[in-house]
Parts: sequence; C-alpha cells; structure tokens
Amino acid sequence: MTIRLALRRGVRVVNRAIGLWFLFYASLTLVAALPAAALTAIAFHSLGHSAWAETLGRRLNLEWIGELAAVYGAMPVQPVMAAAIGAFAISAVVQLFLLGGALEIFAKRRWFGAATFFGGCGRNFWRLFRLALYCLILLAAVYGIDAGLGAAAEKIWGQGTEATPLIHWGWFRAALDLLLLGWLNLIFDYTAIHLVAEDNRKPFRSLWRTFRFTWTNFGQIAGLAAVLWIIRLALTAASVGITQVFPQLSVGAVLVLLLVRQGLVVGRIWSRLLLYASQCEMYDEIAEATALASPEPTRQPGAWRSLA
Amino acid sequence: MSDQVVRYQIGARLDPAGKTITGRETLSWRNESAAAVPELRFHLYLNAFQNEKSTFIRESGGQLRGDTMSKDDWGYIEIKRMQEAGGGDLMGAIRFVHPDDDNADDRTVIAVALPRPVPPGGTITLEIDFLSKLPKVFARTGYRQDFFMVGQWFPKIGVYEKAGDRYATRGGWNCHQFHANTEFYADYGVYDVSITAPSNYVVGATGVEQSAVEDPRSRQTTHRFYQEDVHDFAWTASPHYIRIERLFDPARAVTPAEAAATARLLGLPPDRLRLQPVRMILLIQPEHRWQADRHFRAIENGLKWWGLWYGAYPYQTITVVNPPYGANGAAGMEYPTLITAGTNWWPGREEYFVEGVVIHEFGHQYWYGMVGTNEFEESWLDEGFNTYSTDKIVDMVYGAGYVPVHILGVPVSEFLGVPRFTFGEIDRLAYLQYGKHDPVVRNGWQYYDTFQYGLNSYVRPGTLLRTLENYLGAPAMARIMRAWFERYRFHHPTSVDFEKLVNEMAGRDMTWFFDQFVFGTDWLNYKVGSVACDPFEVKLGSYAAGGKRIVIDQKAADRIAKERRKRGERQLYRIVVKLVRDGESVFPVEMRMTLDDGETVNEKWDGRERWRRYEYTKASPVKSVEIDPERKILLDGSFADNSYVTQPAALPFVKWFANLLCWFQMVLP
Repeated sequence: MTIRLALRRGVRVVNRAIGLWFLFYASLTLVAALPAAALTAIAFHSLGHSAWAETLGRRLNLEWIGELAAVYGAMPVQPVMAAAIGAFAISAVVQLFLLGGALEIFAKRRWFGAATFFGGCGRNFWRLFRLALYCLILLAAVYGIDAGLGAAAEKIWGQGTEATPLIHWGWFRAALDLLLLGWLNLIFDYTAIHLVAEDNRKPFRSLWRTFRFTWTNFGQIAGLAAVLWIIRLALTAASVGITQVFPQLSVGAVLVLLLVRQGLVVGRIWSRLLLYASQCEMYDEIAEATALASPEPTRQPGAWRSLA
Repeated sequence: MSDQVVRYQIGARLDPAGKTITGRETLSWRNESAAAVPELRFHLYLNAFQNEKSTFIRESGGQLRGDTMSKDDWGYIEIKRMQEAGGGDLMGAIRFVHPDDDNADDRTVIAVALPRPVPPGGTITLEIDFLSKLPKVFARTGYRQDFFMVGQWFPKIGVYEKAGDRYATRGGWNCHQFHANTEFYADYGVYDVSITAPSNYVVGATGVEQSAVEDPRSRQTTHRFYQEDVHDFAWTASPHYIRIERLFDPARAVTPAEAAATARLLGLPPDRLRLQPVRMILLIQPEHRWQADRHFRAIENGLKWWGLWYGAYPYQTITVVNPPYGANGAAGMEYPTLITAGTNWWPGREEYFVEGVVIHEFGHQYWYGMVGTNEFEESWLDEGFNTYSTDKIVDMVYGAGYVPVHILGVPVSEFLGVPRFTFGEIDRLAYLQYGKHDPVVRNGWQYYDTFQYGLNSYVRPGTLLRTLENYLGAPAMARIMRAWFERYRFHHPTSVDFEKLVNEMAGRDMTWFFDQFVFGTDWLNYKVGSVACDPFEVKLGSYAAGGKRIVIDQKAADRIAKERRKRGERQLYRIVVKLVRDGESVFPVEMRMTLDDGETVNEKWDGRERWRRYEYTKASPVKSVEIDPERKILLDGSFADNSYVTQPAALPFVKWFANLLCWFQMVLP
C-alpha cells in the first residue's frame, strides 16, 4: 500500500469520527489548563491589584520572577519539577486511555459512538498500559545507548580544547536518538494496533514480533509517520510563529490569537488521529499482503494472525 | 603615574610537557612608611591548589564558579632560592604564616625575616628562583592540553600599609591567604618580564611586547613584556591562538555628539574627555574566529564609554584572551592590560553575554586596575562598581538581550520567542534573593556562603549604586564616579573614602544610605497597605437641630440624596490611603494617587514611621495609588506591592493564561 492511499483512507476514517477530535482536544486542554490556571493564579495573587501588571503584560520582566522567588523563600525547584512530571504523567495516562478507544474504532473499522469508544478505552487500557511500561524499558535502552555514545565522545574529545567535535557528535547522537525513538514509537503504535485488532492480551510477545514487522516494512511505515510528523511540526511552528508575530495588545486580540492557536491544536490532534487511522490501514494492508505472499498460507487470514 | 613601590624583573621559562614554569625574579620593594620594616610578606597563590588542606580548597570544596578542580594534577609554587641582592641567603628566614585563619596547612603566605630591617624610604632588592607547577585550569589559572593561562604564578609581595593607609592604625603587612571568595590586592610598580616558550606558541601578556627573540637551536622564543603602573602580571600561551590586532581610534569611535553629551553630563569642557589610541589585541580560538568582530566591538565600547565617563585609558595595549573549550575556569578574569573573555561555540546574535563579559573584564582596568581597592576586604569596590558600570554600558549600547538557551550548541532563544532582558533586570532579580546575611562590606572569606559573597560583591552593590544614581540624579552620579577615578587613580581607597566623596559631591549627608545599604543588613520594602474610597452619604441617625430632634432614616436619607443630585451637587468621596514600611530600612519615597477623572495627587514621605495615613475628600473615586511610581528605588524588595489599582487589569492575566495554555498543550503528550 502506498503512503498516499493509507493517508487517503485514514482521512476518510478520521473525518467520520469528529467526536474523537473533541474528546482528545478536551482531555488535552483540561490537563493543560490545570497548570496554566495554577500559574496564572500565582500571578494574580502577586499582581492582581498592582499597577505593575500592565507593564509586565506588555513585556515580562525577570525582576518580578525574582520577587516571586524571594517571597517563596527560594525557587521551589523540587515541587515544581514534581508537579511538571505529575502533569506529564497524568496527560500520558489519559492519552493512553483514549488511545484504546480510538484504536477500537480505527482498527476494527467501527463507527464512532460513545459506547464503542469508551468500551474500547476500558477494554484496551491495561494491555496498552503494560505495553507502555515495556516500551519505557526500551526507552531506557535508547537513553543507555545515547549515554554510551556521550561517554565515548567525552573520552575521545572531552579533554580537548575544541567544542566542535563534541557539538557535531551531539548532532549525530540527536539524529540517532530521533531515529531510535521514532522506531520505538512505531513499534509501540503497531503493537497497540495489533493488540486491539486481534484482541490480544500479550503485549510482551506482540512487541517482539512487531520489531520484525517494522524492520521488514520500515520504508512504508516510517514514511507514513514522517509525513504526519512533518505536518505536526509545521502546525507547531505555525503556532510559535504566529504568537511571535501577532501582537497581543488587547483582550480581544488575545482571544482571537487564542482561537487561531486552538485551531492549530485541533489540527495537531487531527493529524495525530490521522496517524493512528492511517497506521491501521497500512498495517491491515501489509498484513493481508504478507499473508497472500506466504508460500504456505497461514492458518488464519491477516498478517496480525501471522504475527501472533 | 603611580608611586611605583615595587619593581619586578622576571625571567620565566614554560615547560609545556611538565606544565611548569621555571622563574628567576628580581624584586625591588621600597618602604614607604616612616618606620623600619623588619619582615617581608609574600603571596604564594598557587599553593592554594597543592592539596586538600589549603584554605582555598577547604572553603571551596574544590568548586568555584561552576568549575570543579581536578584532583589528579595539583598546582603549587616552590621557592628554590631567595637572597638579598648582594647579601645572604634568606631561605632559612622563610616561614609560612596564616593571618586569616588557624589553618597551619595553608601555604599561600610566607613571612621572610630580614637580617636588617628596611629603613624608612629605603629599598630592598631580592633575588628569587622559583618553580611554578600549574594545575589543570581552575580558579582563573592553569593549563588545558597546550593552552596555558598563567596568573598568580610568581612570588608576589604583599602591601605594607603604613598607619593612616586605608583602615590601618599602625604599620603592617596586608597580605591575606588565598581564599575561595577573594581576589587580589597589591602595590603598583613596574613589571619587566621575559617569557620563554616554544616558538610555535602565541604568547600574550600584561604590557607591551618589547621584543621576541628566537633561539633556532632550541626552537624557543623569548618574549619580553614591559609595563609600568600596574599591580599584577599575567600571561597566556597556546600554539592555537589566532592573534588579531586592531587599533582603537578615538576619532572614529567617538562621535562629536557623544563627546558633547558626556561633557554636558559631567560639566566638563569637551577637551577634558580626550581619549588616546589603544592597540587592541585579540587572542582567539580558531573555532571562535568568526566572533572576533563581536569581541572587538565590545572592547571598543569599553574603551570608549569608560574613557568618556571616567577618564582615558592610559595604557598602550589591551589584550583580550579567549580561552578554549573546557577552560572556563580561566574565562572572565581581569589582569592589568590583559583580560580573559568568555564565549561558547555559537552565541546567539542577540545574546549579549559575550559582550557583557568583555566589557565587564575591561571595566576592571578601572575598578581594580587603576583604582586599586582591596579585593580581599572590600570586593564591592571593584566587582560592584564594575557591575554598575557594565550594566549601564551594555544596556545602553546593546539593549535587552536574550538569556542564552542552547540546544545541541545552537542558540534557540530567538526562535522560541523567549522574552528579552537587560543586565540591570537580571542583577536586580539576583539582588532580590538577598537573605540579609551579610553587609556589603566584609572580608571576602567571611560571607555566609559563596552565593552571599557574589550577591554582596556584584549585584547588590550594582543595584544600590543604580538606586543612588536615581536618587541623586544622573549628572551628580556621573560626576561622583569620575571624581572617584580621578582622585584615587593608582591609590588604594576604601568604602569610607567613597562615602565621603559622595557626601562631598552630592552636597548632602548620605551617611544614612551607606549605613543601611553598604554597612548594614536590613531589608527595604514599602508597600500600599490599604486604599479605601467611600462616597459621602447621608448618615442615618438622630440629630439635634433647632432645639428638636430629627430622625434620618433610610427613606429620608434617600430623599435628601436625590435633592442634592437635583441641585447638581457633585458626589464626594472620602479616600483613605495607608502606606506601610514593611522592611527595616528607611528611604524617602514619593506617592502618587490618580483619580478616575485624571487628577493626580503627589505626596512625599520621609518613610521613617512604620506607616503613614493620607486622607482626602475628592470629587472622583480613586483609580490607583503608587509608591515610587517611576521605580527609582531599585533596592525596594517588591515592586508588585508598591501600588494598588482598584480595577485589576484583565489583559496581562488573560494573555498569560492563554499563552501558558497553548504552551502546555504543545508540550504535554
């Protein structure tokens, strides 16, 4: 299957499930709004009745951060870090939960409905959660490789008098990390699809088989993901760029900009759902083809079954 | 220009393999006091790095300015021979002393008992052979591969303070041990130093290079540097340096308008601001070569503005050293006519820390170099003054810049839209973390910790000097600073001298300012305690009038109010404002109240009471109350509580919430 065809089919599926967009957007926004509201509340507590707020609103001044830090004794680094990690973890778990529902619709070609979606969320959550934990181990392995490469560079160039080799090596490491993390991401995605499509409860075994699958079909799979990651990056860059260009000089302007940026957030969510949907299409197609090409047809149709 | 108490003639040979310097020093020292001096004292700074028992390592834990000292290659200095010229051997007369603490293991100061005291006005000449072993770069000095930054490297005589000098009540040596939080103090003199290094090495040093003579057989070149009227000598060598030299030409660098504006500010005729050409020498790493223009522009701005504001740079050269990767311990340091800069692989175009470091270190040519304050005992007089001057120049010439955020060596602040900040803002941010532990003036090793040393030496003085400028006015402050330079150039003034100068030049007693903010530890914070604004209403109750009692109930009150409005009487408001002095320190403040109809009311409060109440009857409700509305008192611990607006501004909070929301939406999974 071509990437274009997978995308075309994916678009059709995602556009049929507008309720999914809303659910993913609402969950992300809710989790994001919590720390944003907490930080704004701190700002309001400090500046709510201060004439300085207007000046700071036009141009943020580090001195105010210094005042806050002084008021709170010192920068509460540990609680802030804990809160950040907590928010990140909550968001990840929520997204994992929703992923189960989305895959239930995309992988099993069902129509979007609350019962189907949330039924899928509940049914698939624990297997996806275990899969995520296994992938965390693989993630640690990637970081281990990265750390090893870093240590090697330190040994070779660390005592030198030039930063250039270390910087260039850093770029190489970053590229390799991206490749490995991207691959890991693909393994996670396709294992998740497999677990849901086949109603499989053994993520560990599926994970290793998906290694082979992603390796064999790396070009198609990675190409599809790359297209959608480029779209996501473009939307993110557009959001950053428009924020820098568009002056926020009135409440109206802020709200207009917020609306535009929310549109871009929805666009990013759409592209993410499109990734899932297209991956399901792609996987189904490759699996079928693998099954047909096999000299001895597998006992059950579908590549997933051949992998199982 | 200076009284040239010392004269050093040193021959030094660098051994790049052994990381050592073999030196022969001839030192002449003149006794300026009226009493005979029976003993000499010397700094042996490199011994701070010889083992973990030194005071320096004990205090620092082997860490300084984010740098960790290598424990596999120690630094030290050994005196191999010391004798009086034409006299006897003095090796037996040497003993290690530790005047600042009880650390008998510290070997950074020696006392040499003389067979014959140096008479008043007399001069003694010593011949000293020494071996200096450099540590891996740490705390300003050392080596990294074939890069050598050679500072604090030779036996250096202390300062003999006669009674009346600085705080001395009787004659004695001011020769402190080397501490983690201290820098240096020395007498002015002449340095004539010959450095022998491999011929492929580029050598830079304090002073003007007189000659470079190569011995083709040994492939060694001897570079001779000479400089008068300085109090230290440092040098650097590396085969990788790219040496670039340009001329600072005042006629090109200073526009007539700039000269005229500065002359007006200082109240001086423009010809008093004449600067002289200076050879600017940059020793830069090959991978930083593309940053050469930035370094030169920065040093030009230093030469120009320090020269215009305080007085012309009198030396012929200024050498800027760019240490290589991994030698950060040698970056950002000042020596007479030689400074070390600090940069990274790719500094962002509008990150001005490269410029800030160059300008700051150049500024030390004035505050430490020519105005030779004691960095051991009053570090604010060089670092604080220099922070103040650096902030003024960088913020004026370059404006607000980005805080450096680098990912994989690439500056990303500009792309991420991170807000920009001035050096002044960053310094006040740091000042606000002052924990009331120490006064500004204190021996460097006696601060609560290294953070408090830095805070009280750099940012708190910088902030207090800017507050002083705002209080006295820019012209008065500019004239004070110029007088400070002109009066104390090549002398050793103190904080008390500066206080006297301020009182004299300002024409008023500023002792209260110095007592609180330089010699004291108290905190300053004024705030708006409360603002009440109530419309005058008909008061309910029973009133005696015309021999009978009238009861005003709510109905009657409403009727009276309605009649008043019909008659066109304006609604009046009773406004009560309470200002509070939250900190212990006292500072005269201004208060500005703005009403809804645009009327403003200004008050001046001497700030002495704990709080002050102001009451007004006005025809318009209050809109805002602000203490120090122009934010001149930068020492105030909080600007946020300096004002009260009755209607909070919605825009900033809506904007921040919207931006934070979008940012979190972007980064959360």
